[in-house]
Amino acid sequence: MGCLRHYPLGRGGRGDSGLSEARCDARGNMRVIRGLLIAIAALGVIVGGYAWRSSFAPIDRPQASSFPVENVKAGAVLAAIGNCATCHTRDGGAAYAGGRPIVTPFGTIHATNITPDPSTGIGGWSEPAFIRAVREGVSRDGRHLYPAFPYDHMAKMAESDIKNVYAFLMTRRAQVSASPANELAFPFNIRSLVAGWKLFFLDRGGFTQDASKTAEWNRGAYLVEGLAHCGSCHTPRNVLGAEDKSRAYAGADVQGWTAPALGATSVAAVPWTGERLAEYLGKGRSPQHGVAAGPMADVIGNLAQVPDSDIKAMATYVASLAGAATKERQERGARAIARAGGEGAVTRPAAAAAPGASVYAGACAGCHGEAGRQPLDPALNLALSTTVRAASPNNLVRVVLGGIGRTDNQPGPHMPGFANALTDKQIGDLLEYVRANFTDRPVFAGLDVAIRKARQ
Amino acid sequence: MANEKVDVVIVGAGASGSAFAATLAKAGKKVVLLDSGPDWKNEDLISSEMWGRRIRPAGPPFLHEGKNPFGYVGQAGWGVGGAALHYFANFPRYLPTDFKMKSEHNKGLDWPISYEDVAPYYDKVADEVGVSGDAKSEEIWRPAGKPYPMPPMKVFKAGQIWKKAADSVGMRLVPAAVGMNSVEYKGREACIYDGWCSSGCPTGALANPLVTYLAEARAAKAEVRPMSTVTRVLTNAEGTRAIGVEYFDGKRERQVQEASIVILAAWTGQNPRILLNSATDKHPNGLANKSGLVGKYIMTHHIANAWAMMDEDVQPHMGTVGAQYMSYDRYPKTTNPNAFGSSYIVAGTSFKMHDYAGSRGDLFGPELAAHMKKAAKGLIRMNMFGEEKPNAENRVELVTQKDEFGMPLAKIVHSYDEDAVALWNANIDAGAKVAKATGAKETWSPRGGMPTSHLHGGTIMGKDGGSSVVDSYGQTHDISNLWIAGPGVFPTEGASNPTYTIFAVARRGADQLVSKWGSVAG
Repeated sequence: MGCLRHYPLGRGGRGDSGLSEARCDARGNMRVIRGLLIAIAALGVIVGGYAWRSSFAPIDRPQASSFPVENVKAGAVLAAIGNCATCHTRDGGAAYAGGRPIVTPFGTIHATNITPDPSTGIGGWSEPAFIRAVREGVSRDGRHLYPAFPYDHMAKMAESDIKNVYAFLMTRRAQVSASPANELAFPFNIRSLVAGWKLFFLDRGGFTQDASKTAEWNRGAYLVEGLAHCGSCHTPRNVLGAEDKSRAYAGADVQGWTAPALGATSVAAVPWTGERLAEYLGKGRSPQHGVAAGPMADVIGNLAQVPDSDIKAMATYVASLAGAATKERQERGARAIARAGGEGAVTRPAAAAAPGASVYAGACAGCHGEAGRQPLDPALNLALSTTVRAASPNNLVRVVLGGIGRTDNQPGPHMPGFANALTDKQIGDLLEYVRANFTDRPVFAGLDVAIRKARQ
Repeated sequence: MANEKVDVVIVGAGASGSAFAATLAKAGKKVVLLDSGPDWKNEDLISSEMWGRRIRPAGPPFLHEGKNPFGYVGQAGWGVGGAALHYFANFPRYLPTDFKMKSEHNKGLDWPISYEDVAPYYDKVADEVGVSGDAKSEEIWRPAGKPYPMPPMKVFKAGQIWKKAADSVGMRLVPAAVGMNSVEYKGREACIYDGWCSSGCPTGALANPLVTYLAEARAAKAEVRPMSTVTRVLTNAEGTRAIGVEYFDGKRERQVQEASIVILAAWTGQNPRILLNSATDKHPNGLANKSGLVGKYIMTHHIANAWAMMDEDVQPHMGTVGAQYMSYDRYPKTTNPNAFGSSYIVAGTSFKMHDYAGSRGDLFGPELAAHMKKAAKGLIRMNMFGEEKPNAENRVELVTQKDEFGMPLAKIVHSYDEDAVALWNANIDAGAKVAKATGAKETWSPRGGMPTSHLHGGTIMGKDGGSSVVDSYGQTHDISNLWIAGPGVFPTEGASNPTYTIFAVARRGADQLVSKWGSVAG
């Protein structure tokens, strides 16, 4: 459906950043898309009532005790890997009770209530109805679901796993909470158009093992390509809003944040390894790469409930996407590590020469260190930060403004936000200095615009 | 190695020493500043409690006696820039009443000068080092003067809460006058409000000596000689003139620096120690001590804290360690019927981890952890500095133990009198009332040991050599080319943070020294 996409809405995402924030390549091609969609819909009709799907009769809400405890437990872990709660929970609302607005270029979709309330949730859904929804994107009553729900990934799930998630959700406390109606412009408000979209972009083949790879790799691929739906954020979209498989994991913009490239095009200074990725996914930080922020911070929060073996499997698979590090990439990493260790470091330049240097000294150096001086328990060395090296300054600007990890009672990295303290000019000066001082990358393009936008 | 004789040797490169140095060097005098600590540069400053501690050791060692022994907090310094390298840069001024305690109340002492003598220098200093604030709003309490060169600083949530609470109980708060840049000023950047002032401001937005008077002095060819510990002022055989100072350099080798003028601008406790240690057969009780008052009338401010824990996130780490708002509403010395002395109020300061812990010194373990968690979001504070009367029993004197250079150590004997204790208690009550008015569920005002802070006196100014050590410019009554600078020359301490007045009095003294150079330098 056009540029509808799965927008994980992290604490940093806030979900209300408006149409202009949700970047989509298709934005300027609306007319073309509309034409295409109508053609696809027509095709769907021609193919013979393809769009029509049957309804599963509502059932009485199953007793919670009818689900074996081990299935519920397994489902809890799977729901965490799938980040279900992130989208299906509104700010300050009950978990899984829905209502979170998901802003897209085509309008706002409100996540549904997936607690077992019979009237407003999925209490009346039978197990087969739930399995069909997850695999085919069709509601119990036969309506097509918008692919904001990433069933293009979920379709790879094993039936047993879907059943466990069902067991988990059906044993949650029922919440009476009706989600607001979606606010989509014509023709995107016609659900049957989604049927046409699925013809092109929904792969119903399930997950296929690669016998040439290890069991761990296969487990990781199963989770990453399926339930965890990493590509929803990290793979760029085509004009119809579907993931462009030819550029899988090449990175994309989501809610003003940039989901970085995970493959060979990663700008990370030091090449990722499976071990480093496992550390990052488990703890939300990797000293040689960065700290999870924005939507990814929620993902990390969910993964805290996931066994190490699954995290390691996902890490192994994701690390394999980039292939073995080339000599050039290894050298780049070595240079960055040397720089982080103080090689070539110069004393803080005079404020007149680099106005951002003194802002850095005042606001940043105490934790991040500076030439020849590292704190006892240093925060990320910026010479190693993927975010500082990124093509777009978006993530860096957002972290400086909003900080990291302000959630109460959560251990882990913490950085204060400087939105109330620094002027736009001071942030611009600071980030220009940081980019020049800690990386060999060209100056940020569009820094001023990024700061202004993030302020809104 | 002989050092070439210079026009002026200044002992101590802190607030008062650098103000003297800038004035004299710009007047063409050859100036050498000797400082016992490192040659700190702005590049050495870093916004971190761990790193900040390096610049905050509290100066030379002293022994402490009395009912309320003086405790080092942060109002002393070590190294170039002195305590003003890590001060909060609150810039309230002394009010007219501070200069006339004796004549108005028949208590304590009078200054030999009045507010009107110092006021022009408040205005000059504001322009020279850069002060932000709203001078007009202060004129409900003091005579009119020039506007400050910069508008008030940004107000953060804590400040807004205190303002509202103070309004509701009839306390007038106005934007705090601070030695910081609310906007770019004289090539120095605007403040970034990250709240680490007390670790040393690395951006140059805060008016520490390195970016103000010391920079001017250096530009005018003054030499700063760090790691140089002065032990004695040397006098001629007749005992009529100072000829220079004896000091130990970084290699602990004895050196002599001769000069036409000697200015003691070391820490308030250290100036008397040097004078007493400089005794000769002509000056058996120490230099400039014919009055017997060297070391006498040591005074410190007590502080009453009112804390409140807000439910909302006030981002307590942001802002400045100085204040967002201030009030002289409790400045009249008879504000409280059963107490005596001025009080100066500040509200809304930034906090760091150690402040979260220090705000409840009575908690340990899990209770402290829970408190700090809350504090990191909701902690706010108002504090009231209070005055004590000058009392000759509060004093610095030498003891028999010696330091590494063979110089006798000194002790500081200090006790608060009944007036000060009563004022402190009244201030705690007054602060608690405002704290409750914030609406916070949790407010507290600790009454543990009575704190000490800014140190004054010990080399007080006065009309004549019988009742004081120096005149209003800092010139000693006994030896015309020996001068003293800093808050040690204040005969009363008011309640305001002293540095603005230290700068003003030192600039006034330095101008005087330049204008009568010929007759003084000889």
